[in-house]
Amino acid sequence: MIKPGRLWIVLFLLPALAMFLLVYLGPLATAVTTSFTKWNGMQAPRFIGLDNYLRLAASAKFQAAFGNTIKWVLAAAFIHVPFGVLVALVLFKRPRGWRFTRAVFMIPNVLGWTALSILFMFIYLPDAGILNGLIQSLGFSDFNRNWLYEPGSAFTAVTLIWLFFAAVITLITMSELMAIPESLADSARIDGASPLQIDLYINLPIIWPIVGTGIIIAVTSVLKAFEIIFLTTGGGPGDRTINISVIMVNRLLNSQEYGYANALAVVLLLMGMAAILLVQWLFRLGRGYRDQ
Amino acid sequence: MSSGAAARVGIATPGQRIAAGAAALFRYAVIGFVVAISVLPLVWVVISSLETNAEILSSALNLPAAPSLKGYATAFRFARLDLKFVTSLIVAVSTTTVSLLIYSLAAYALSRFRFRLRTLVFTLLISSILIPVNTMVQPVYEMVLRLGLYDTKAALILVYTGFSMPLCLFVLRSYMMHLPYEMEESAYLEGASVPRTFWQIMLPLTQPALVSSAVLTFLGSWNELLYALLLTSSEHNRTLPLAMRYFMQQFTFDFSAMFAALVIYVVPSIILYVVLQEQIMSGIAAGAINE
Repeated sequence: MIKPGRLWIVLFLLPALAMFLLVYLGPLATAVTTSFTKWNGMQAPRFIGLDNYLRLAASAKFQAAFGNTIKWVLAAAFIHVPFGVLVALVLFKRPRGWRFTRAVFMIPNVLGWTALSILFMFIYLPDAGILNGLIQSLGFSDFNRNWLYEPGSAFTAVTLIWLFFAAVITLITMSELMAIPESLADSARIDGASPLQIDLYINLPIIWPIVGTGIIIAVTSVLKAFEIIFLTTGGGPGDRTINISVIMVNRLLNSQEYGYANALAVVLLLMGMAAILLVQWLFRLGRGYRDQ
Repeated sequence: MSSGAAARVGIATPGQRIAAGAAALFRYAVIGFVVAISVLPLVWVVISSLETNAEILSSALNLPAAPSLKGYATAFRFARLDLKFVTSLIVAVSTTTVSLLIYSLAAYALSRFRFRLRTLVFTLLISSILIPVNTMVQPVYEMVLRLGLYDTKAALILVYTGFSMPLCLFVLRSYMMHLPYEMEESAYLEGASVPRTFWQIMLPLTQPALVSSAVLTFLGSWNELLYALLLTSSEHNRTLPLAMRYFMQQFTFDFSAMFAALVIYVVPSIILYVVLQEQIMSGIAAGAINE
């Protein structure tokens, strides 16, 4: 630690602080304040109280988006994260090929949402896609389904684009598992505990807090999902795969309802905060053993 | 491995052996599934990109009779992916450079300087991770308009640099905090200035964290779609993700070109990952846990 002159403190921090004001704090303040106004970007914003919020709460599109988002949040917490943890528990035992598996599992994350969405669009293509191709080659030669555009399969098809790509969860869980002293598992083994019992009663309770962190990561990432819907179904068919970000962007691009779009943004922000607080609260309850 | 453990303890009943066998089977089922979903779709896209349209349509599972690069030619020539590729590269490299500069300065101040508002400033800057970037779309668009930066690469560089803040700051600061202070101390004792010590002593030591931050910032910028969609309009400022979207809408009849375009788009990410795998993983792990 040094105590430099005030000039250096200011100079070193100023660019980052300016960036924070310009790209985060300023825009956030604009989003919140204009969400209470009617504003199209041309005329000055006109204060209308909670009108935007009341309107969106009453809109069927928003209700569909809210419902879909809740379903996706639950899928993230109860399928995506447990799958990532399961893979970590498996790879942590260092079976043959564990390094390779960990490395390739990361590839879809590295590709990013745009590439992954387009990749799955190809997989789901009705005539050229590999999914229909595989099903046809199994003997169902007449099978043909437009996975992303049929009401019965669109939601599942969009969900599968991200559901099992849980490499980030696996990565952070594995680094936590590797920090557990081996003596713990050794003594349990001598007492006759099976590997499954060691996972369930020793490893899992120790890594529980990181599972909470994983759920926060997964849930916030689901809440800000945009590309995987916008590029594939656009929210359809009907509103079966719509979410709040997609409604917001459509409003911005097509009807310049800035106040309304920002009200949607605020709802999204609040949902994120609520999810983080809820998960932290739930996992603090289960964390007691560390304090003992 | 579990049977090895049982043998070490010296009690492997038949029941335990069956359980160990089932466990091993389960483990390899999980591994097989993970590898399959991560690799096979990409392999299929690469193979299909070398097929003709007729081959792609006749069966999704066949191999090209004679691998053809026609799809790649179409992608480059008609969708001008070469142009978008360069734009994306300029934006991503500039974003990465500016981010490293700005945030390593801030990380140094936040890990080494003693001043009154230190904790407050750090908490404030790192709180940016809690704000989903989608929520600021309209205000950022407004800000970019007002700065006169609409439809410029500078707008994208500015916004992406902002978005890389929480990750870069966290990765760089925590790495710097774990570095010993002795070398800087002796530099200061010999009368070196703060910027000089930062530049010549601290930055070289921080290299692994700089590489992690750099590659993740690059990838973030390379893959961003939403802001690129709203902040640019002209052909030479549109990035690859936008070109991909346009392509999927315009070339729906030309499957080999579509598949080739996706391959062109992901090659840089894959190369970066193959070369810098460890740095990417450690960066993601460090960046993820800060919440």
